[in-house]
Amino acid sequence: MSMYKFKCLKPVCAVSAAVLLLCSCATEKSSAEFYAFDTYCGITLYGKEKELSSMKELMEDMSSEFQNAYGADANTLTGEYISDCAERSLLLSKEIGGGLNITCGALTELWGISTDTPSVPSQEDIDKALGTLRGGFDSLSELPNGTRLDLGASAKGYACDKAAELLSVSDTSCAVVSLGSSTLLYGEKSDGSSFKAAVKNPDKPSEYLGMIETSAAFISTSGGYERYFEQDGVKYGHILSAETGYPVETDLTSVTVIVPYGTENGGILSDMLATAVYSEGTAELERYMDREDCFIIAADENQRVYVSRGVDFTLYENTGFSFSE
Amino acid sequence: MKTQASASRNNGRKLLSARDILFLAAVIVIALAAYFLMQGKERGTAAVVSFEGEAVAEIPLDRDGVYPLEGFDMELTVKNGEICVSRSDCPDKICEKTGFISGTGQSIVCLPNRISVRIISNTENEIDVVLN
Repeated sequence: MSMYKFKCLKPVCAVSAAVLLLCSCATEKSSAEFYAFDTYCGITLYGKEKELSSMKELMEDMSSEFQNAYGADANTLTGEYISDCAERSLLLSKEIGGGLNITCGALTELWGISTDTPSVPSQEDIDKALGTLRGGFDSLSELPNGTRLDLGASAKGYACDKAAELLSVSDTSCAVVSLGSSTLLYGEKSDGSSFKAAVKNPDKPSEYLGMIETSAAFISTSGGYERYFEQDGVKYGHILSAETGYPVETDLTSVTVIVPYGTENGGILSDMLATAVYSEGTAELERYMDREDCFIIAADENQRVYVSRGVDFTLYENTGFSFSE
Repeated sequence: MKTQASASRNNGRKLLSARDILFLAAVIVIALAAYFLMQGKERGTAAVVSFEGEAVAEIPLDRDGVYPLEGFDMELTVKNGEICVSRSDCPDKICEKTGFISGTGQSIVCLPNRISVRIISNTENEIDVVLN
């Protein structure tokens, strides 16, 4: 009798051991921090250690490709990521509008925006750089020789798309890939709770404005409070206008765009939208809020906060900000 | 009938072979390892004290101290980021015997007094990502 029982026990033990082993693997959290895309990046994933290292590798590969091709000539692009990103960005910039132009490489370089020593160029140089901007093209191959690219508004979003692609064929159940201004929230947390993403207070970046709760999504943030330089007492932001050649003038101080996971090109879309919404200010905000493929949280210089319907956003107390009507 | 048949087939074999014992030992080791890996990996920042499931007090774990529980003959002690029930008038003293806990989600329960102490992490730690 007892022997018979033990025979049954064996498979039971094997199954329970397997389940326990799987449980302990699934909840295994690994994370890495590194410098890429001109910013501190962080990856946290619940999966195998190998998946963390291959994700980090992918991000660093892409980062160095974008770094090397900074301001590259559109016709002599080498590297699969940058060409792919440029093609997608070109189409999306047309669809989104909002003054987005990926051919402003010469202008960005002139200002030295991504360098350690940015400075205000002469009007003559600005006019010359503006002359190299191109619009109305559907494909990179149509761009004239010497067109210089700037993928600053889409590179990190694109990297999030690629990260999502890699994760979707992995065993990872949940991951957070943070590339500074663009973030991928992938999968589902083991306790079933939603992801929580803190939005910084644009007037006091060491504090939080509030918290977003969301399911898997691409999130990008644009604001003038982190990246700017001062010259002769004037602050210059890092987002340049393709019209004036000067940093964009906007009454918004922080824009966060959430694109639900599963949306095609969701990462690039969130990144480019964040830049477009920020650049155009409150005047055009309504138009973007009407889009059905994204959610927006925006703060303006009068400490008003605008939130799309359907976003779970908690505005923290004592921030000085309040919801707009 | 079936039992008899299977017993007779196994005639001459011990109840548990060396392989079976090895296997069971491995299962136990794996189960224990998994249990400890999953338990209280992340240290909590506070303890919530509940009476009949309703929170009655929240005790931060970053300061050492002794906290008498108002209305009860119970006392909690915080030391090095851990908390325990250091005194209780309950008959079984199970809560005292639980000792110190510190991992998020861990708890001490005193059934006679209907008191539970559960470790939580404050909001800052719940944030998955800060958007820049």
